[in-house]
Amino acid sequence: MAAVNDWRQRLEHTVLAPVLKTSPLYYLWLALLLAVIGWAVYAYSRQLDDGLIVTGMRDRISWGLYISTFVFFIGISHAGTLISAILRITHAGWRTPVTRMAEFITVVALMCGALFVIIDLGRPDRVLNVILYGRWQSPIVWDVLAITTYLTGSIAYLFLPMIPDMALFRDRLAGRVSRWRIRLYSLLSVGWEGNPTQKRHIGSAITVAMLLILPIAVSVHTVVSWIFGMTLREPWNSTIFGAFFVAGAIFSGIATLIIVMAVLRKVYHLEEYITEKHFVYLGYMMAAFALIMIYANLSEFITTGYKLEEGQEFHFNQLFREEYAGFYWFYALGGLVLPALILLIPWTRNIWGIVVASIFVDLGMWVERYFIVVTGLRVPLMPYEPASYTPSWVEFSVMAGGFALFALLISLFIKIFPVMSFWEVAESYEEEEAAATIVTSPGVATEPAGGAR
Amino acid sequence: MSEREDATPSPSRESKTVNRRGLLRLLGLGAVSSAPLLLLPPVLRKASQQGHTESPQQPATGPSGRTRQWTMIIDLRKCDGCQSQGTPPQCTTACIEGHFAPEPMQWIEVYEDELPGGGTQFIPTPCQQCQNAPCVNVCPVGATFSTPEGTVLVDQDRCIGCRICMAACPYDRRFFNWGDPPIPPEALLADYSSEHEIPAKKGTVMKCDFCPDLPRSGALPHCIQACPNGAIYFGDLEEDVATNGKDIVAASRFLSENQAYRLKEDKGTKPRVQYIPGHGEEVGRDSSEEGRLPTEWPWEERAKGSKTWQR
Amino acid sequence: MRIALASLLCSVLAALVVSFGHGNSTASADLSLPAAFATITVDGDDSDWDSIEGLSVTLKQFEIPSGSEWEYDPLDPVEAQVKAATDGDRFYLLFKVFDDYDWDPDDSNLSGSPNVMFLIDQLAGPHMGSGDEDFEESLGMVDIWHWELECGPGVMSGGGDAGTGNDPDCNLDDEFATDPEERDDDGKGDAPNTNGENSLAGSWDHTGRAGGTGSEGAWVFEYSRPLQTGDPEDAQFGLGSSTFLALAYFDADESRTGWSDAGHLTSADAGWLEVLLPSGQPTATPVPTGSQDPTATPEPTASPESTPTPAAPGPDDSEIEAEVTVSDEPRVGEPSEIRVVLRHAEDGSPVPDVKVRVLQDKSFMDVEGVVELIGARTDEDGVAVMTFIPRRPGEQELLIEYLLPEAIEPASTTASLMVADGGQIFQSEAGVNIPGLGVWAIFAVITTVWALLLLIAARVIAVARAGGVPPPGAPGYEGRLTGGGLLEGTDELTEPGPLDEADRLDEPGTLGDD
Repeated sequence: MAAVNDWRQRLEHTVLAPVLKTSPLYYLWLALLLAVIGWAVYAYSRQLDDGLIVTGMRDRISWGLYISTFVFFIGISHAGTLISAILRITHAGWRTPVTRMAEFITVVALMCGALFVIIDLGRPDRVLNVILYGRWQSPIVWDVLAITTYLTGSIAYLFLPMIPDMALFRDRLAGRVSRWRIRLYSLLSVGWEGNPTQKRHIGSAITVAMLLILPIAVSVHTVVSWIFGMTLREPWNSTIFGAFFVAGAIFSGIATLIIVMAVLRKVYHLEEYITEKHFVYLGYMMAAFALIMIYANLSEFITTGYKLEEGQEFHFNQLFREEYAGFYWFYALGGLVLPALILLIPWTRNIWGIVVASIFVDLGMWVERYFIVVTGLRVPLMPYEPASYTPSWVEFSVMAGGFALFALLISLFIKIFPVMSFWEVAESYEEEEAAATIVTSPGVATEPAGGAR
Repeated sequence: MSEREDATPSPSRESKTVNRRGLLRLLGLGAVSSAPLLLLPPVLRKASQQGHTESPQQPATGPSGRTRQWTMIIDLRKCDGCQSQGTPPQCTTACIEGHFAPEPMQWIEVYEDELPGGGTQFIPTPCQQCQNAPCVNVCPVGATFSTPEGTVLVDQDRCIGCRICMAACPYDRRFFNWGDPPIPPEALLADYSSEHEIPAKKGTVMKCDFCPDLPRSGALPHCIQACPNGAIYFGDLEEDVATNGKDIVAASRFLSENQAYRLKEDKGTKPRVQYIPGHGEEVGRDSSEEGRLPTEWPWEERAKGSKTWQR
Repeated sequence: MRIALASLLCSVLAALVVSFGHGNSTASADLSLPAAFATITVDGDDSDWDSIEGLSVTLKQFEIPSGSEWEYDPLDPVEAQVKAATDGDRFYLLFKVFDDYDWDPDDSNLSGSPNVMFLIDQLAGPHMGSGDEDFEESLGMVDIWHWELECGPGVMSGGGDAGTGNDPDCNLDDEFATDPEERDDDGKGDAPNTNGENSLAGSWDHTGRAGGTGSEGAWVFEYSRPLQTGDPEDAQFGLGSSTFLALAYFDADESRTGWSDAGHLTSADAGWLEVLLPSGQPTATPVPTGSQDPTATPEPTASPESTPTPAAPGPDDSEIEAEVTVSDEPRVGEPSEIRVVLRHAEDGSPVPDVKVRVLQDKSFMDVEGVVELIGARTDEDGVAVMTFIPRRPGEQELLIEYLLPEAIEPASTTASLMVADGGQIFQSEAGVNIPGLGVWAIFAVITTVWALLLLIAARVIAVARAGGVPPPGAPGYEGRLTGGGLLEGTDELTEPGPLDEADRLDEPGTLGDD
């Protein structure tokens, strides 16, 4: 039992450490992020002044970097849903160290994604018109409804399992952190004591949230895909857009989770809790989705390629052979095939390999969002020469700012909130230990083999 | 999370206190959460209008009192891209001048399309004023709306500039004011209305609107007046009549007797603009005579402080 | 040389026209036109012919029999129109050719040239086709009015010295032919004819003359001649009788040097054209046949009966009467049937295969005019049934036009109707309409989701409420710290942690600093 206690104390220590100790490197990192964000704010101010003419978008290709990044971020937000909800439903014990990260990636990604839609507007001063005059027939309104609902649900879903941890923080950090923080923790722990009534309530709340978040998440990226799918543009005129985008979202979400997981594991010494097993399991899931994405690509392109209706032939040329071939093949080979191979070949199936695969996946998926948006708009509708699109410095700066904001919010989050879900990790550890005890010799309490798993 | 059914009874006095307190809390919570319901009626009202923005004026009516149903018939047998005139297409020029359309917007644009067998034909393409308009369907704020006369207008005071309508339009007929629109100073004096899109506003979408203020007062739209060959007919489907300024026809008969067709019929947009096939042969153009003069905008020098952009 | 060739060609024309008399004992014609009783000013302006009915024919190149030496460039057929009139003294003829304007004052080969031929001897037959080997045989005499345009437009041509049909000034010659190969000016043939004369008066113009050579339009060739000339080499005309004519036209566009002898276009394909001369001045004011008196009735169903005015009693009757009925109670926006029946007045037999059009006055945006609403062809019963949708309420007229087979201009009749008012026909169908999916479905989904979120919020509040007094038997404070009590059967693990202990929820403990 002492070993268990030891283990528990180690866990507590690990969970509290990021909040208690801050290295100078952290401040440097924050400064860097703030600098990028500051530059992005300047770039956006140019855009507010002069209008969207500062971007590379024009009448014929009227969406570009902003919308692709928006779709990408909303895609990443599916990390939390998958890990937390699906794995929770299936009682996969190994999920516990990563659920917190997954959930806050979701919240942060949603906020950054929503930001990009507003940045893309020509008249951001009128954004409230969407609420005042919203039309239910519009895919953008569906988007707004779905994203706000998902954001609310995700915040709830992030918050609920954090309540016991907030209680822990409130108690353990009293006197060691500033008063406002203790107030915050007290507020957020809503009087948690761990008594049975509370446990019952929170259990049912988490169950409801878990069951709710799945259909919401599926609907979110489906309606995002319908912003494209509800138009008559040839490359977007596809019925599988919804499923295709959801699969891609989950795919990129897992990859982002793996990357964040690897970074935080290294920086905050979480090796005892987040092991190679986690990477491998998540990696397997990512491989599964890579295969699903390959299938979806084949499905889409073989059927349209066989027929080559008007507009599709031009699209095939621009996507596979000419202007955007580099983008497409990087995505297909680097973002789909390569990660699948890395994960399926035992020799590369280790933490490093999997992290590299995830980086390729995220890059590939961003590229995919980009060429879906741009090549879709590039197919000529009437007899004119196809236009071209090159993002301007403003767009690149704002996009960099968006990613910096994503990293910043995550960095701030781990300084305030526990990076892992303490009670869940402890609970699953103790469950395993109890099961091991029973197995070893029934009725006799033996020292279980402690240590990492 | 394992749930434990706990049958621990609470002390009665505490439970009574808790109950009363709980009841008060619940009532308070209920009141608070019902507050958003007060927003429901205006929301429902807006929803029942299906987000229909309204035209600033009553619908135009014909001599029999019924609402006009504007349509355009473009007789391609008479359109030669103004090759014989030696000018850029005059329909486009008149539209630009009549509306102070910012450069490089061509609300009616004369495309040159290749014919099977070689040669080209000119296709003046205004907004097709679709009856199942994709742009109207997708607009989140109802800034693009259909009128009772069957036309589609844009309210630049409501447009948020999201440009989903531009992605949705299959005819390349919507234009965005990417920067400060290059328009002459006198345009700024006009009273903006969705039927009279002057001046253009930065960050919003605009397009051909069938010049609603002109037919209301008995004049034909700018492009019809300007066409030297009388290739564009403007009509009212309700009265079944159309004119190009000189000749008058029964619209339905003119269409059926001349094998009229609509652009991209298979997209299901049900446009109100019909075309009679041809390549300018009635004004002496041979299909092999390619090329037309590029459109010009007269005021870039006078549009202070703004610069134009490429499409 | 040119004259010789021209003569040769005219002879050929004559030959072909006079041949094929075999089996044709009497000249008969499939086409006929009535001559009106009128006085025409011969000046090249055909406006005084406007109210007179004419006959349309197509002039085609005839086929040279195989083995012939003649060769020519193929020419497209041209349309022509012929009208005839008489005032009891003179015979007037209008020959109108729809071809482009070619006139060279110095070279009549570069100008168009008309030829009119009249039957003199019964047996002379018009050309019926190619391939007759006996075209050398003479079957009779024909009178030819041959005109090469050596004088300008509007200039009176014709006339000449006594004893000859030659017109020395303007080359409107009065000629005759008895066999296919020869054609001579009156009085100049082999047989002596001291009464040869040229009392033709002709004047020409071209409607497209203002546009210069090559302009589209029509030649207007006007001729007049006394009914009787006393020249045996002329066709003589008499009131109340018929005369038979054929037409030919030489097109200067045939080659770079103008028309050639072989290339002319003739009406011979249609046979002789019969001209029915009136017997005298009609008692009533002459009106063009085919136009009917409208009988306007205020009833919704209008069936105007019309009486045709006969042109002249001739062997063929071309009076047509039209009966128009419109379906009961036409209403704006509802399809209305209009039924037109065309019948011969004489025997009531139907007139099939005639194009009927329904027209109406319309005005729009300061432009007024007559527009065509609908059209159809009469079937074998002479009936054309059409459907149209009235757009305007109130009293209105429809104009029904029909073009009879030999007519140049359409005949017409009117129908009056009273159209009741109707509702809006076109509704603007804007917007997406997915059956079953309404804003209510969206509301239902959103309400459900938010209700569930509120439920979660309620649970959180319940968690808050359940804090404070730990129920007896619970692990108590310590349980909060170490997580003990969260697990089943692990109460024995409960131990106070090594850190500071803060008692209640809202006691912050000692102030620390991070």
